[in-house]
Amino acid sequence: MKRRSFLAGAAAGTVGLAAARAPAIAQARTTKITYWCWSEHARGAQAVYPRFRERNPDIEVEILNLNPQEIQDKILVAMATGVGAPDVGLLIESRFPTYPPTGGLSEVTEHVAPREADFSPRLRTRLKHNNRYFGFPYIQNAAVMFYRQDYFAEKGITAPIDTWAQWVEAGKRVRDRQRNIYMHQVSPGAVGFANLTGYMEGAGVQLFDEAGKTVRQNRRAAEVMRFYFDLVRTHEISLLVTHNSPEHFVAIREGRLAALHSGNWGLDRLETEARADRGKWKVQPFPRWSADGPPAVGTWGGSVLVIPRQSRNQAAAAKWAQYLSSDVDAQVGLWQNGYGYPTSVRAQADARLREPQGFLGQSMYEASLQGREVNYFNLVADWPRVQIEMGRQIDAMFQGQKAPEQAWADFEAAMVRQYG
Amino acid sequence: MRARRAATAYLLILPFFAVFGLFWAGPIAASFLYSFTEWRGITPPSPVGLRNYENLLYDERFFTALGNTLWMAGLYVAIANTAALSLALALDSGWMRLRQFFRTAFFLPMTLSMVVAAVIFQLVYAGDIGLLAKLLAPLGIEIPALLRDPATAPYALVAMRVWRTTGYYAIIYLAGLQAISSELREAARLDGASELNVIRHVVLPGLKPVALFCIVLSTVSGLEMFDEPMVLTQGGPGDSTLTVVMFVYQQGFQFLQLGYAAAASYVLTVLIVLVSLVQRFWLRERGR
Repeated sequence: MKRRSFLAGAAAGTVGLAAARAPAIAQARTTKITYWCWSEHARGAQAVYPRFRERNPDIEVEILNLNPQEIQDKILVAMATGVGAPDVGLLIESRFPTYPPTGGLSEVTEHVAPREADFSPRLRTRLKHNNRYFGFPYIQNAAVMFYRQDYFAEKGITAPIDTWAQWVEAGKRVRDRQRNIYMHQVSPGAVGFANLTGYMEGAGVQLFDEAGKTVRQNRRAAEVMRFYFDLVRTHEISLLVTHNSPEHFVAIREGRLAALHSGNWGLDRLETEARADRGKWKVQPFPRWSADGPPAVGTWGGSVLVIPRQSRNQAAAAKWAQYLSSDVDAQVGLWQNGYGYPTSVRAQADARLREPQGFLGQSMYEASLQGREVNYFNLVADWPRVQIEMGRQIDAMFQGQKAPEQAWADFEAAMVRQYG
Repeated sequence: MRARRAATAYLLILPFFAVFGLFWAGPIAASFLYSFTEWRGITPPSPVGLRNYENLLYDERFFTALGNTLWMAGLYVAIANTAALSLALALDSGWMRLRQFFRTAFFLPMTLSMVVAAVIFQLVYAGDIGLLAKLLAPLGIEIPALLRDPATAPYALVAMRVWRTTGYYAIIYLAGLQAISSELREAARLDGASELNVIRHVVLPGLKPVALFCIVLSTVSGLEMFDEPMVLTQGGPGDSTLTVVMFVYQQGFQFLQLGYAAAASYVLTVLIVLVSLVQRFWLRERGR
């Protein structure tokens, strides 16, 4: 080979290599982050992601749909071991207070504090640890009651039903032993406590004061516990079955439940599990405890976005979390695609929230959330401990081993031993 | 030459010990040390001496979990091994047709993911809409929702585990049966032994090493029961299905008391070792 042709070949090769590397370099500039979330949140995130990508072409988000309980545990394990954490994770709000004291979450005060006016005072307290923010507000859910309009109409019942006393009376008319139809379903165990939370918060009950100490001689809480028990054992209008279990879904599909107590995201479950009954289901506010009482309801879930400290893409992760948390279109998109109620006050005021949902044929916001005051518990750091202890008492109560009042007293005693 | 051959053998088993040392022995030793600390996972552990073990002594739920684990494991070992041995004897008998099909069919549950199996069993056990209730309804038998009754939930979990694993142990027993000389059995028959006596005096003594293996394996697996309560009952109702591993999980990953969880897991480890040793000596003594 002549020297000239060798040089020409080498030059051509160099140019070719450089051209081939160009897209690779462009690709390397893209920061890829992972986001762990579950079912309806994954669907919501997928729906709002294209807009994020348009605005942030340099950030690619891998959205992973995992089991919600699994995410809570896996993030803890990842934080403890130092490997495997996502860049952004979604935590169940009641589990969140356990995480900041571990030191494994990034502080996000600089992103969240400037927009404090855009979310509720409750979240300002809940998302802070030592007066610093460690989570982004994401969605919050209120307790609502879905119901079968056809079943109600059959019995001459007019919805919305205002109070729990009226609900019980309507339930006695709906309950059909021949056709095995119940008014609604009540859960045993720790899951039962998650449901009971909506009832208790609606009644203005607190288990712990703001300092995290147990509220003692909690008569109102014991009354709500008794009411929960009576729904199943005394009035016999509620089916005792674990919420969101296959058995529960079969009961919904087979038309054995005239109503479903849930957070507003329960519509997502209904759309999947009761597809054939589209148009028959409607929604109303959670009943209140007295006709002259405040139109207050409890929470039903709620989630927080966090960035583990070990994420190597803190800036990109913060952009994604901030987008989901504060962008009005993103927050509305999460509502439209998974029925997660926005935490952003600006998004709550958006007209799109008032649009009707096809499955219900009515606006869920207007029919069940508008004008309701949402009460909430003061949380303590080890909330699962509270849930498990309460779950044991609920089981004992439904098994007839103790009266609801005794179950409450035993729960309170256990909490006093633990938290003072 | 001899030394070289020995070196080759050690070299061949080295990868196992390297991986075991790195991913098993290390964490086992570390968690033993953590059992003497208060540790919430990320912040540094602080030594507390024997306090975690002392607290276990006064922890009512730990003893509930221990009691549940022991009796559920005992029941599981007895039923699973009896069923597996019976199945293996049936599969080994001359009259059985479609042997290959049955072997595969009985082994199949073992290949199912635990979550899939759990969903299936939730629907099998579910109150009056469950498969079991629907099958028994025509006979006039009403059964409660098995997983919601503390009196039945532990049995329901054991039954599910037996269903999942019996085929696996049956295959091991079958391999043991096929290793027993057919001439020996034939000789016993010629001497006038009935089929039951052949099984009792020829087959079962010949199966002793296999039985020991299956019993120890199923005991360890029974004492480590976690998947079933985790997926089906979360330890309820009222702690009736709370096992030690479930207790460890709650303490470690839900309450973030990792030192306490490590102490509980070490108590379980000691228990497993003791039970395995007792079984080994017992079977050896009976073999003499």
